Amino acid sequence: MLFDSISFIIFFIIVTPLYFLLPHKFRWFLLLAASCVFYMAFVPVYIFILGFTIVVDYIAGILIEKENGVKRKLFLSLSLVANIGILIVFKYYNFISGNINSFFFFLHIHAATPYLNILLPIGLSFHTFQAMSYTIEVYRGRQKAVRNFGIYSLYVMFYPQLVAGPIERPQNLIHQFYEKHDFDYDRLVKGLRRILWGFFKKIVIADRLALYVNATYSYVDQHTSPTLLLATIFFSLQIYCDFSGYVDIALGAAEIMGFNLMENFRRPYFSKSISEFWSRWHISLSTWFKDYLYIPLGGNKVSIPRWYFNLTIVFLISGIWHGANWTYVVWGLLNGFYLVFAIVFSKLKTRLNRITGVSAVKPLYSFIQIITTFFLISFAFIFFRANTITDAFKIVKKIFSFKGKLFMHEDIIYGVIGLAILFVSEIIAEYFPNKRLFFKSKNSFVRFFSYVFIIILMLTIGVFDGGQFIYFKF
Amino acid sequence: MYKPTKKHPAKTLLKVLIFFILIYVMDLATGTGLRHLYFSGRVGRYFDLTYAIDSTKADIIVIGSSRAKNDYVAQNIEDSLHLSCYNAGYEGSLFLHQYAVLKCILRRYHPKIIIWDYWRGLEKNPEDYLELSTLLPYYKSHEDVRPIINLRGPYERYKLISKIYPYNSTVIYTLNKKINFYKNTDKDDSHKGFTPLYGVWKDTVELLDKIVTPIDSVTQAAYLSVINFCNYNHIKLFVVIAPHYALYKSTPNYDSIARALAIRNKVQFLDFSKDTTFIKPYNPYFSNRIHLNKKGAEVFTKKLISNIKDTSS
Repeated sequence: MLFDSISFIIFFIIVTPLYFLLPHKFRWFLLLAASCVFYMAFVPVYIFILGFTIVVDYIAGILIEKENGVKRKLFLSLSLVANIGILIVFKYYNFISGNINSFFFFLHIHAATPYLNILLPIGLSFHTFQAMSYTIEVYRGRQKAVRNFGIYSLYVMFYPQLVAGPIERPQNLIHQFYEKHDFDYDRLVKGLRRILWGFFKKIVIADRLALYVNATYSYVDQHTSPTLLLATIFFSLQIYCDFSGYVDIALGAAEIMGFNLMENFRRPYFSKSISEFWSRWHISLSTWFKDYLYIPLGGNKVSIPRWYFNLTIVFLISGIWHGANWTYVVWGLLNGFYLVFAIVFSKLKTRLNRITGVSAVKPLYSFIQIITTFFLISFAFIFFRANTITDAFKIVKKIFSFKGKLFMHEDIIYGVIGLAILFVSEIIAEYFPNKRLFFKSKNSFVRFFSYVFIIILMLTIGVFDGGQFIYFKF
Repeated sequence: MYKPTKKHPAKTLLKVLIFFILIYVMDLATGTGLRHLYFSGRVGRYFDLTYAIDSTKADIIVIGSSRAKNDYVAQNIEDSLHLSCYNAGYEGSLFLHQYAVLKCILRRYHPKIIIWDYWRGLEKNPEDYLELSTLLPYYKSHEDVRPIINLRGPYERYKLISKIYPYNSTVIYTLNKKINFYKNTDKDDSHKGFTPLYGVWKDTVELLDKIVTPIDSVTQAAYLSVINFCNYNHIKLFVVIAPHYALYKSTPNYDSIARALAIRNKVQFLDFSKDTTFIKPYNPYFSNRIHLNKKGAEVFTKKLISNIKDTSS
């Protein structure tokens, strides 16, 4: 079920009041049933895959807690193998097979591995990672194994965050299912406000920019340098609004029912460095990789070459996590390279700053850092968005040719209107967090007018057939 | 510990009521303004569409997508056949959109000839239904449009409670047609509905594999109903596949089925997709892979007229 659909609005209007009307002891069951309905609205049969991982990890959790030593490790390994195995079969098998076949072809070997005619289950990487974090945390002794199968299933399937995160840790979410949440007016208003803002980001900005980006990236040969540059910048903003819009709706829906999910974005395009960007972008995934991969690899408490290797490998896997395509591999490696490069040249950068004196003019220096980070991230996003590696390199080459005229279309103007509103809102949140303006104004007239303005704007310039969220496919 | 806040229920209800009244008033006011902007234009694609649906009385109607709009020179057809002609092609429109427009036209009067540019019409394509949103401004006033728009989904009639919704994403285009505040790269100022394209496509001919896709029973029924209507009312219907810069290993199933249905019902099916005047290396007739440029449109229209004359005699 798509968040930006009438079906979801009806679903939400039914489930939320029912949640408060039911006695506390039945609420988990309602949420679980609702989450099943939500998930099965995509491809019903894939609930069995989800069911399989839930059963495996539920049992694994109990066994890990019960056993000691080698057996404990064995059960954790089995759980991880089952989860990663499902990811490999459904997400990576055809990619691996395709590359093996290309290699055979290159060697003139007449053999081919078969392709599987399967669709990628929606949000597979998200709920698999969430499930893995449960067994790892039980193994580490930081989470007790859940005995109630329904509650554990709900931890993996809780509908607001089922298909695109945030990837929750069991310590943050599971206890909330046992707590009684009473209806609260202020929480309702806060949640609805957040949902409205999420819809605005998705419908007015992300889906509008997508029209321009898709038209450009699908026909790379036909477009000019300024058009491809604008489309690339638009994509950086599109993916942010698409994904953070989804998260706003998810967090808003959960908040109304009294659940606190983790924040996944903190205005990432105000970051002054790549490392800061990754602490503000898709926070639940970044911290997942930090906790379960980077630190176990040794983090930065190892030799310098090994540290560089750790950073690179984490971003390589992060790239692969996003999709089975070489474009994601390059995107991940590029981000890893940025981080290593920044560390290698940090002393040189400090010296240069001292010589030029640019860092003394703080606002200017911050602005340069923000712009530089944004363009580096956008450059990497070329590989993330391009249909093929060949297309990505064509785009890079064309952008740097600085030739041709901009393809002008009304989508640019609609997009800029939405972006201007977003920009004002993000500036206020970033630099004036205590100011209570628009949605948060103390004056109820201003608040009401802001809500109505956003709704009317969505109806007037929103894109209503924009399709699914980008991160649903991961 | 989180402390729930207590609110007076009557006060809360009043707030909700005020909120919905505000939304209703703003929606009504904005929707009315957008409606005025939409229908008061005298140039551009919305004007052309409204003219086709409500006003044209041309003897020859060309219907189709942008391929119809860019490839069929209405003036040349008019001059050669000595019958008035209007090109009702609409950019980005798919089969059901064209069918709805044609139904509106046929309700008003019966043209002598209909030239329907056929482009993957029977192929099952969910886009076909989404794209019908361009007909939303005509939902309330045209009963032929209503059942077709309802195919978009079960909630369409409820979405139309909003007065803005039918004119969603039209404001910049309509304003620009009035005050010209930016230069749109897409040129769509037409002459009798025909809009020429410029530039020459220099890429190689695309080689396409055999295409077999699911057939949409709804569009197939629509196609047959137009054929039957035209036969019954003695309207000459020509289903035409205009040239596109590609070579198929074999005819796609949606084309061969459309051809078979046309021939079975004694309707002319003119297929230019393999015409070597157009499908050859280094030809100057295409603006892009699926649209002819002005020169190509003139050559193609001439060939089409000659075919129509041949069949008529």
